[in-house]
Amino acid sequence: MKTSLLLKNIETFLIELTEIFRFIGLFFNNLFTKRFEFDEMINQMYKTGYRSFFLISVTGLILGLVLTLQTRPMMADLGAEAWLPNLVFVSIIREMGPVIMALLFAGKVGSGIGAELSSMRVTEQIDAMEVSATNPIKYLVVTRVLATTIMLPVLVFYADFIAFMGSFLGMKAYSNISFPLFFTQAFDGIYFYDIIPATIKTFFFGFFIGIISCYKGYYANRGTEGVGHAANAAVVVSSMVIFLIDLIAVQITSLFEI
Amino acid sequence: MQRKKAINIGLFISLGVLIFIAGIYIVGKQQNIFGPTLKITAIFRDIKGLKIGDKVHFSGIDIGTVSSIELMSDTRVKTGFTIKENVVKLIKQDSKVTIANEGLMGGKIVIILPGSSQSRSVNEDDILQTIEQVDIDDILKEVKKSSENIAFVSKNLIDITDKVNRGDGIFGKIFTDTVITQNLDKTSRNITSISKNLVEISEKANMGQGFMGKLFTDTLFTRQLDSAGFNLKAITEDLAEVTEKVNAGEGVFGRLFTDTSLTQNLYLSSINLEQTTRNLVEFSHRLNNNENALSRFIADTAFADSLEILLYELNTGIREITRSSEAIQRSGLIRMFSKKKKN
Amino acid sequence: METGNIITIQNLYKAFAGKTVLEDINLGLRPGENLVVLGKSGTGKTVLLKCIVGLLTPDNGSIQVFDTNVEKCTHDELDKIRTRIGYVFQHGALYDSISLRENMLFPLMRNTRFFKTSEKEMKQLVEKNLKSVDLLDAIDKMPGELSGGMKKRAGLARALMLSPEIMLYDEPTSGLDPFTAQEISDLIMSIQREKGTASIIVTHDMKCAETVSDRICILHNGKFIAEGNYKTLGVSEDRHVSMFFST
Repeated sequence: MKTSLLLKNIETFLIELTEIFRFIGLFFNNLFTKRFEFDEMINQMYKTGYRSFFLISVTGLILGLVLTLQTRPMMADLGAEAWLPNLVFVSIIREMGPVIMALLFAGKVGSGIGAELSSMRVTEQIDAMEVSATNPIKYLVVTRVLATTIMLPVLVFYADFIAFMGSFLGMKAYSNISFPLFFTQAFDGIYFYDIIPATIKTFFFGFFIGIISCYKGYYANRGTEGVGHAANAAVVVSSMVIFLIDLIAVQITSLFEI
Repeated sequence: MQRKKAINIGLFISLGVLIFIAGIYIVGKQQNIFGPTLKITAIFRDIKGLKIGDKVHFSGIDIGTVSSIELMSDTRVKTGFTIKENVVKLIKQDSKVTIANEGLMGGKIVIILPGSSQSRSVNEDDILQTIEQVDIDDILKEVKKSSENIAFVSKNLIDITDKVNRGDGIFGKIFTDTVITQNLDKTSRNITSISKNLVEISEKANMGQGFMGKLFTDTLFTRQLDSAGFNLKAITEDLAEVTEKVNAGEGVFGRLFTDTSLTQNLYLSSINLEQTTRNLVEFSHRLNNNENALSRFIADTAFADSLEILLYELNTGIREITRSSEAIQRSGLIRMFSKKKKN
Repeated sequence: METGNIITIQNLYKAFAGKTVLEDINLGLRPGENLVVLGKSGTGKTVLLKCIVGLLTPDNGSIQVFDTNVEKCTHDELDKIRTRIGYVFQHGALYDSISLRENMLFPLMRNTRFFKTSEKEMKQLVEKNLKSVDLLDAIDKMPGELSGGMKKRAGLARALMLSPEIMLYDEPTSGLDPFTAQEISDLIMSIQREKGTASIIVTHDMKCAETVSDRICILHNGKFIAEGNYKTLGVSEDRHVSMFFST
């Protein structure tokens, strides 16, 4: 009995996985065929990116500040306070910025997309759209996935920058460090292999947050209950996938590092 | 509305990308990827974990990065450096390149040492000469050997001076020879000076002031130390031989010290000893004066211990020498040394 | 097979996950008539409508709309056919993220390749159609601000935007109070009268069926079990048919 349940779960998981891959295929299929919903993409970029700026900024600032304040005593004990800006900045650029912002983004935008599309599905808006000579995959999915894929990295750039300023504030709270010195210390020992893989990673984060949220919303059912479920599943699965991608990214990055 | 949104988005993305590009530029500038650069090479036997992207220092200033590392054979690593073009004229063709530690945690930097002013500036793809850094383990080994030798010498010296103190008639004669006594005097003064410095070092070392990551990043200095240690070793071996002969037996003394070649030998030895001690003085002086080294001195207990033994032995020796020179010369010089008591 | 029908459905089968929803459906829609499909909830009425506009593909059988086989034609042909059909969804299916005006404009904007309409004409058309369902005051409201009945009316108005030749109504009166339901029924009648459109009205509301029907088909367990007008079916002795009329 127990094993059959487990088997069933594994089966469901595998089917879901296949469906998601099929959906990704559908996305690319619709991405490269004619008619591109540019206006709707701008709309979605505005919604997902521009509207998330405040959230990302505040979080970025706190992230920089807290990381600095938390790490400072340890570094001070070691007498290596001069390394603090660099340590904090490297961890922000490589890991904290992309991952935390992606999780936030999944929470805000992913759940939004999941809820929006599922409610559109449940109230037949997607059907209505299709009847109005509109390919809903192009109109709803492609635009949203592109928007998240493009906007998340941009948001992470902002977040990194703001976290950098937050870190400076954190330093300033305890020492009279000048900005140029902080700047030099922070960038001292930052290499391309810190920035580039982290940036590529965020594109994947954005893409998968978009794809998974759209998938969960697009194929929602069971009426209004399905809406909540889709929003929830969009966030949970996206967050898990973020960590999975992060894990893979670490492996790949370490392959290329000398 | 749509237009306004599009403008906002455009602005938003542009600014974000601008931040990214600025970041890339700053990092690139640090690695000299943008701006005019020149590539020079050096071939090392061992690059000690140097990585591409590590800094290149000239007179302590960051002037470039390591741009390529290529294993040519089992003992030759071709290392390329990208150097900012505006400093290239200061780097001469006879400049030497060495690898040193950057910080506590084992980061490496390349140091280009200034060349002679007459030499021409480097050109693209020039190959500079390298100085292989002596490993800290090797240095410590050498120092230990030297200190063991010194201990042995000083023990012998103690034996001699003991005998001198006993007031052997023949010895009195020897020590009336002003040249030898003067030499011995100088030597002992030097040794005192050394031991004073060494005491300070070992005290600092024993204090273990929490710091002291990298001893002897300064290669010139370590070379000197190395050669000093080597000299000392040779000399002490020499001395040991002599003093052993002296110690060989009372009966032989008469013959020994009338033998002019032997006294000549002793005389030369004492001169050598003086030279050596002068080297040591310089060494310890530099250590104390923080010339690039002591601030990173490691609290190596083994090293500190052997230093201490050495000091103890030296001090005992010096006390004896002092007493004998007092007895022989009756000069006021002894007072200078009498305050030099370790315990 | 009758000729002159604008929709002809033959031997339609549709199943979901092994469960048969529609079985051997044959149906013809004549020009200008109001055909009511009566059936309990979950008998596949909506599935039937969705098959007609090509939202769902039948497992078997053929659906001809304006002499084109819906299940075999290309996307472009389907889009072209869809412009001639007005589909009124059960809850109006207004797009939540845009205002009522934009909702009304949506079918026009998406079909510019079939219709060349100037902006001014579009504006007038929107206002005219909203006025016909008495929603002109709400033109700049968001769908979330509208009541259920208003949404249905707005959905109806939107379906009319392209002046379709066929109207498909999915439960037009469900979930409404009798007064509003009557309003909707009257609207359906006036559309038939004024524009001469043929309609399929899927419902289980007998009041509505009585008002609007020229012909009634009764769907039970995925099959048509009876056909006729309100009066003839009213006297039928079939248990499944009389069940509708007894209430």
